[in-house]
This record gives sequence, C-alpha cells and structure tokens, in this order.
Amino acid sequence: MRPSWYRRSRSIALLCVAALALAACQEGGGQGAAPEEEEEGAGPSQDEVVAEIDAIAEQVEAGELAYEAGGDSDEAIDALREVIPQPEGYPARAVEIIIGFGEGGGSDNYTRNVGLDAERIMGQRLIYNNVPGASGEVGLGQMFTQAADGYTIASAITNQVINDALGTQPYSFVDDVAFIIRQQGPTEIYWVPTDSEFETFEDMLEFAAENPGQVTVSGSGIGSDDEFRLLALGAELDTEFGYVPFDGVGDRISALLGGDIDVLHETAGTVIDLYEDGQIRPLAYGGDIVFEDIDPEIPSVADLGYPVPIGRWRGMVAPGEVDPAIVDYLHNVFYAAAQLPAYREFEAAFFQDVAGGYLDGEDFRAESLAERDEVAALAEQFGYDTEQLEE
Amino acid sequence: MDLFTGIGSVLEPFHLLLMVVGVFIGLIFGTIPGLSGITAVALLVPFSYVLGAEAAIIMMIGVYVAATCAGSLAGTLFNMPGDVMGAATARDGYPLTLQGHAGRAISIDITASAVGGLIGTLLLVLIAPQFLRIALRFGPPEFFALALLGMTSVASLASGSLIKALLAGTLGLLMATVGLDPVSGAVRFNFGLQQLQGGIDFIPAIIGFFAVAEIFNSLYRGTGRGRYTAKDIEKIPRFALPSWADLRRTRWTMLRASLLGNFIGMLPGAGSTIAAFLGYGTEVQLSRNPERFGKGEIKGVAAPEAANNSAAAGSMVPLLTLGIPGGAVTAIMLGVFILNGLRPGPLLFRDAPEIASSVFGALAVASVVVFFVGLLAVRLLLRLLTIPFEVFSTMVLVFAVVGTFAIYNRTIDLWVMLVCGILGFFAKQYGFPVSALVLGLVLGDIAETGLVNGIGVSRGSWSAFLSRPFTIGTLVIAFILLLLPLLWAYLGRRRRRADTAAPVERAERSSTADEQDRS
Repeated sequence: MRPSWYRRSRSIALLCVAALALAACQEGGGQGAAPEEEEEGAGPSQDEVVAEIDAIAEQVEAGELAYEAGGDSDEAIDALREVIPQPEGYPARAVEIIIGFGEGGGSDNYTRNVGLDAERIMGQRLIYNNVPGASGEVGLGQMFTQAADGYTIASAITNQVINDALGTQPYSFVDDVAFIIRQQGPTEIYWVPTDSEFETFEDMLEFAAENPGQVTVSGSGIGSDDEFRLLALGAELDTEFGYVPFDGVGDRISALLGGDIDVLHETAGTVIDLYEDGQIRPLAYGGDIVFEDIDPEIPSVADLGYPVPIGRWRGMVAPGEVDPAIVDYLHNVFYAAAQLPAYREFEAAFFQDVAGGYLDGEDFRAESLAERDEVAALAEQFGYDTEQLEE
Repeated sequence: MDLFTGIGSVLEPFHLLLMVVGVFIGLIFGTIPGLSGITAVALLVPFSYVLGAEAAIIMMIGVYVAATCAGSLAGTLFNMPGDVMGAATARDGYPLTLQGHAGRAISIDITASAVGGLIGTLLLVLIAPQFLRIALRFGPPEFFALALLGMTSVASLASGSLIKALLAGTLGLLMATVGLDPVSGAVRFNFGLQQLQGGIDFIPAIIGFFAVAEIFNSLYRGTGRGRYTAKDIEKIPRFALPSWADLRRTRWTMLRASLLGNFIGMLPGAGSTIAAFLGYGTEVQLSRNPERFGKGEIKGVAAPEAANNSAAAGSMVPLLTLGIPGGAVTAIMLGVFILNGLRPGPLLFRDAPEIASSVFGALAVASVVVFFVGLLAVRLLLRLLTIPFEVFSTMVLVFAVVGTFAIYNRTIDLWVMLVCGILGFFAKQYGFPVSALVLGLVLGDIAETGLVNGIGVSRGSWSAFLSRPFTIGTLVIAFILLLLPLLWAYLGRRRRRADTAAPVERAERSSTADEQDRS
C-alpha cells in the first residue's frame, strides 16, 4: 500500500498543477480559426486599402453592416478581411504584443483596446505581454531578442525616441525598428488646483520668468516628453521650471492636490473626472490642439506662440527585419480596428479622438527621426548630461 | 447606505459564486510559494470583458483579499512568502511552525486578516474622506520620513546581532539603487545588462531570498522528512478557531495594526507594500518584551496580517475617490474599470454608484468568506507540511520559476531570484536577517524618490524636511520608536535590580503584565 502522504500530496499536487496551468495560460494562447480569404499578387496600394477600410467603417457607423463587439465574426469583420491583403501564410498562429508598461496603464489600455477588433480581423489571438521597466525599454529590448518573423511586435511611446536621442540604450529605436502604425497623439494639459493663484497660463509664465525655478511642474518621470516640453518652454522664456518627476500617475495627482507642486502636465483622460468635479482646472492645452469639449476658452501652448517640441504618442513597432508585407498587413489591421466602434468609444472617453495622432509606418518613421533630432538638440542646449547617461 | 447595498449586490448568487471562486484562487495562488496575488489578479484581466466591470471587480477583490491573507500563510508554513507582507509575518509565523504550533499560527493569521479586512472596510466607508485629506498631505518629504520610520524597524528584525541587521538593511538599500537614476535618468549599477535598467523588483528577490534560499538550506542541512505527521494534524479541529487566550493576547495588536495599516494603505504609491513591516515594527518597538519577537511571538503574526489586510481596503480609497491606484493590484483594477468604459474618480459615486458600493460590499464579504474558508482549510494547509522534502522542494522550485516569470514576463527576474537565493542561503548560514535586506530593498526606492522629489517640491532646498508638520511628526515618531526599546531595557533593568529573586517566575508574570498593559 502506498504511504498515506502519497495520496494526500497527490491531491494537493493536482491542485497545484491546476494553478500552474492557469498561470501558464498567460503565455499560451488558443488557436483561432484560420482566415478564409487569401489574396495574392500585386494587390491594391496601401492608400487604396486604407480608403476601402474607411468606406467600410462609414458603413458600420451608418448601421449598414452588422457589428457586434466581442463576437466571433460579423459582417463588418468579414468585409474588412476581404479588403485587407494578407501575406502568404501570415498569421498562422497567435501574435505576441509586448507592452513596455504594467497592466492598467495608458499603453496597456491602448494596446488591449485596439487589439479587441484587431484579433478578430486577423483571425488569430493576440497575446499581451506586459514587460515593464525603464520607460518601456526593457520590453523593447526583449522584442529585439525575438525572431523578426512578425509574431512578436511591441507597442511603443515617445520615451523610446527620447532615450534613443539620449543614447541610453544598446540599440537605436529609430534605426532598428520597423514602424507599423502610430495611433495616439498627445492630450496633455497644464492643470492647476482650482484655488491656484495662477488664473491664466500667462500668469504662470510671467511668475516663472521673474522667479526661475520657483514654479514646480510635475510630469511622468525623468527624460520624458513632459520634461522636454518644459525645457523648451523654459528656454523660450529664458527661465527654468522646477520639474518634479513622479513615475506613478497617482503620485503626480496627489502631489498636485496636496499642494506640493504648482502645475501638473497630464493627459486629459486620466484626470478629467477631477476637472468635472471642480478640483482642478486647465491653464493651457499642452500642444497645438484645443479640446472644445473641455473648455474652448483655454488657449493651446502653440496658439500662444511657444514651441512644442514633442508630445506623447503611442504606436506599434516590430523588429527591423520583419517582412514589409507583414508590416503593411499589421498596419491595415490595426488601422481598421481603430475605425470600429469598440476602439472609438475608448478613444472618445480619453479625448484621443480629438488628439488624433494617426500616422502610417512611413510617416511615423519620418516623424520619429525629426523628433529624435529635436530632442538631441534640446538635450545639448540644456547640458542634459548625455555623457553620463552613456556610462 | 452604500455598504449594505453593496453587500446585497455581492450576495446575489452569481456574484457570490464568483467571489467564492475568487477567494479559492486567491488562497491557492497566495499559499503556493512563488505565485502571488498580483499574478492571480493580472490573470483575471482578460475575463473582465466577459464578466463586465461589476462582476469582474467583485471577483478580483475576492482574489486580492484572499491572496493578501494567504501570501503570509506560505511565509508562516514554509518561510517562503510570495510577497512583502508575507516576509513580515514569516518572522514569527515560521518559528511557531517549527515549534509545532503551525495550527495556532495559521488560525491567528487568518483571524487577524479577517479582522484587519473588516476594520479596514469600516474605516473605508466611515471616515475615508477625512483620512484621505490627511493622506493627500503626504508628499515626497513625508514619504521620505515614512521610509525612515520603516527603517527603524530594521532594529526589530535583528535576531542576535544588530550590526548584521544593519548591514543586511544597507545591502538592501544598495540593491534598490540598481536601475535608472530618478534624478538624471542615468543607468546605475546594471552590470551592463539592459534588462536590469528596470531595477531589481522586490518580488523576485523575496522569492529568491526566502523560498529558494530555504530549499538550498534544507538541502545543505539534509532535512529529509516532512516536519509534521498525520497524527499532529488529527489534533487540529476541523474548523480551527483560534484559542481564546491567543485572541485576548492579540486583540489590541490587531486593532492598532488595522488602524495603522489602513492609513498607510491609503497613501498613493508605495503605501500598501510597507504596511505589514510598519505594523510589525511598531508592535515590536512598543512591546516591553521585544526579545520574544522573531522566536514565535503570536503578536508578531497578528500585527503584520491585520495591517496588510486593512491596507488592502485602504488602497481602495485613492482608487475610488481620485481614480489613482495605490499599489500594483489596484493599478490592475483601475485598468479593468477603464477597459469596461468606467472612469474611476470622484464622480464614480455619481455615475456608477452600484460599482462603488459593490467594492465596499465585496471587501466586507471577502473578509468574511476568507475567514470561514480559511479556517476550514487549516487542516488541508497543514497537510502540506507532511509532504516529504524531495517532493515539496521540487514543486516549490517549479512554482518559484513560473511565478517569478509570470509577474513581469522578464527573464532577468529569474536571475535575480537565483542570485538572491544563493545570497539568502549564505545570509542564513552567517546569521544575517534577510527580512532586513528585503525591507531595505522595498524602502530604498521610496526613500530615494521621497528625498529627491522632496528637495524638488521645496525648490531645491532642504527646508521641506524641517518645516512640514507631517514630516516632522513622522520623523519624531521614528525617533521615539528607535529609542523606546532602550527605554524599556532601562526600565526593565531597574526593576530587575529591585526584585532579583525568582527570575523564571518574573518572566511568567511579565507576560501577563504585558497583556494588561495594553488594555
């Protein structure tokens, strides 16, 4: 007879194996049905495909094509599959998307929301892999270690271009990735507590010009787009701001509400509830877009004539050697997913629909190159210590 | 009232089922060394699309509350905690297990968790807005002071040599500096490894320092058999309520720790991670018999447990009232709200009152469910102790590897775990307390960001640290806690001189006196 511990530990072991399987689920993924349509040869140009996707999106909006979020398939998805030319044999299995930030953050929300319909169009699962650390660079570094077969891609944000300009990484983001699509543009706004002594943005700038370093502004971490926007603004006014970086959005907001900092440079969607509740108010829109729904009276920094060197965008990239046909396919899939109701509702809640930010792969690369030059110039101008950063 | 509406909603059959399933998942993930509550909650994210926000949040809270409680069960039973809070509980829980009191330790462990959870929920409902106003006054300088306060408890973690505890704590602080410099963004101490730019996360480190090191240690010492036999377990009742004596002994401890933990949990940022250590540390410093801690003092189990479960409830306050996450798990929940088209924030109570009250209700119900399920499971949990070492250690290593990787999907974390396992093994051989090291690692980040940003908010001067009431207050408390043990020792010596007779009897009497002093 087996010892009694054997029987007991067997049942416990079974329980444990079940938990292990659950944990492993994050890695594995179900196999979806293979796509029905296969198109080959010199198909339509990218512009034509995009135009066709737009036409389908209009039909969905007009209610002419049935669309049901979360379903297996519907008319809208079938129509999109038909117009998007598919590379031979791709995707034959689930595609992994590395997200360089934790669950629940802006990048995570963007990727998972656009992925909702993207995976339906592809007919394959998307595996979301959150690999946080060093403003997304740990995740990006991990992407570069994977095969460039189009089955591992990553979502990227502005920090990647900045870190490239500063030379903190062993690779070059702009030179080494294949740009798929850029989908989110900046929605940052300069916020102050409702009872702040600064009535307008000019008040704040005036005070800052007379008292260098006395106006404290918070943004997301060191070497971020927030910091470079402030550096540019400070240079224009020949003064400087006291930049206090916090990594967590929670820390930033409580620092503003607790009176530790004067101004917060933060995305609209994250804090809009506090604005509607009357706890904070906007001084100026951080870029060149005026958010009519928030307050049309408030100016944008660009309207006021100040430079806006960079803003927070989000998009998808792949390792550089990925087949261009796959890159185009992924562009079309994510572009189409972004035109469908599931993602558009998400965008509307976070004012991303106003900010736009869409660029196709080619423009995304060109824009990133320009941004890298701009940041490098700013970094040099301010003695941003790149020597030290290079180790 | 919100709480009762919420409880009503959670008690609907479907929600209750999800809650119980969530509690089971949480208990399993929390108990298995290497898996943690964060992993379990993150795994539920995709299901939230199907379940909808309310059901998903109820289930997640079940997982969260259960895993918070169970994380320390692994610490108590095997000295293999899966998270920071368990590391504090293991200090006294594991010695109790070694002394054959595992059943007692676990009962009090679960009871303290439930008490902490319930008190935390009550505070959340009743005085959250007032508490929050104070919590908002906690800026970077206060966080720095809080980290100092936490570091005073390094002294309480010393078993034997204080110098060794300080050395271990300092090494922990040093490990916390790996990664990007928060001032200049420069890469520090990453040994040329790109992945280390993200820093050394404390969860892989804890799994290494405790679980992996414990296995190395057992291999070296050669413990071949399970520590408990089936007979020992027969003695434990099926529904293992803690004894009346233990409850009496720990009631004020639980209350104190719950209040402290709840407030610490409310601080956005790192609050909830350090609640357990602060709860433990304060209890040791306040005690007149600090030397008993670390050797199986039941109060040392109750304090961190009550504190961290109360903190779990507290961490919901910034999430619900400001829409900002207080810790890793609430950050994931925030994501779930957003994925489901909700915007957590001050208007959540207006726009989706049912969600807000469900959160309250779920916290309360989860604590009760954990209490009953937990106490029913005590015998089952103790059976884990009868598993022979060869079987058990193999399983634990597998889970340690899977669990460590599953949190952030980074291979570097596996190396961190392994290196920490080896470090932990030698630390144990030479009597360095690894919990002090872990505390240093956890507090290092908080202290550094607090110091740097504290200077930032006072526009480049040090004045913030000397002029803000809450900073000064926290620093003073830290100072007092640091001096208290010396005071007790001094008073004790004076009294001992006064009555030198019958030292054994005196020790007996002082333990009852200790209880009455608290009441």
